[in-house]
Amino acid sequence: MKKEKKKKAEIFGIDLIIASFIFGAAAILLFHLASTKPYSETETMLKEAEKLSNILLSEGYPKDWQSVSENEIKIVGLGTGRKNEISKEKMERLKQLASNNYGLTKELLSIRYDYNISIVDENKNILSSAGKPLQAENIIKITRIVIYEKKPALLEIYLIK
Amino acid sequence: MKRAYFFVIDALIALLIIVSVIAFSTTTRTRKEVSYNELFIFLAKDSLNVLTELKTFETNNSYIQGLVQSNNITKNISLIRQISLFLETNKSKAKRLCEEMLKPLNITGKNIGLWINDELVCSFNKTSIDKAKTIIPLKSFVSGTGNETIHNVNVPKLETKIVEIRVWLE
Repeated sequence: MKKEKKKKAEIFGIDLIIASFIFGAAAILLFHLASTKPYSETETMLKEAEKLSNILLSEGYPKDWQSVSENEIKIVGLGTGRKNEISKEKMERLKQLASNNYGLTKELLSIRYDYNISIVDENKNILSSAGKPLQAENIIKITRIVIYEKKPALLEIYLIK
Repeated sequence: MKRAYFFVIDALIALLIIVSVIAFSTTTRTRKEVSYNELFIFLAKDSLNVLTELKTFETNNSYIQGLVQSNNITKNISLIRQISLFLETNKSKAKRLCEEMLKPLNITGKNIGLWINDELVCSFNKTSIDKAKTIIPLKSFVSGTGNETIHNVNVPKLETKIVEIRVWLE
């Protein structure tokens, strides 16, 4: 009789330890999740603009996407293959695509927001621009320094809500 | 019978906790800090890329083209190497070349400068670096060369130099 009682007590002990462990882990996880906030709209846009700027500095896929048909283009990148150099031909093709089928360019750039991409020289002259005009209030801007037509210029990327 | 109720309720509570944790964790996106410093790192990295990628002879800039035509520049080397060479022989030319190349940065309104071996070559800034709360430095090297000929171009002797782009915030 005594032996049976002892066995039962041991079972309850192990059960309690496992339950406490699960409860503790769940409590810690809940606390961690509750203390972290989701991204704000601005932060989401900023992250997306950062990602877009890196895509734009790549060559895109296929590498000569500027000379293939719309449905063969997978990724729109403006790079020439040299670090930070933007191809004028690719920029012109993006402009053309954006004016003919703006929705498609958003898909190819993998972005949810409207965009404007401009190349600006040191005197603030816009050398080339593609996408929506800048009118909306909620705008995120990222600037990258690039080589355009063999001289330094700014690649300004705007995301518009 | 009582014990059975106890175990059933215990199991249900445990299940409820597990389900609520899973549901909560799948609906809540965790936040990874968006670092605004990343944007400044881009500026530093891009500037360095432009200076190392562009060669003197190909650069579409009237000041540099003038130097090329008057044979005052080594034709087939990167701009950063040319700036480093000028720094040893003619500091004002080094400063001018640096300013010509980083000119577009001026309109961004950011504080940025180029240092070579801890010597300031040129900067565009609204506030002094001494008053900066955050400085983002990005270092690279210009490897040394002897007085040699590369692709039929005479490249003057140059000691290895540490090149640094600094971006700073008030």
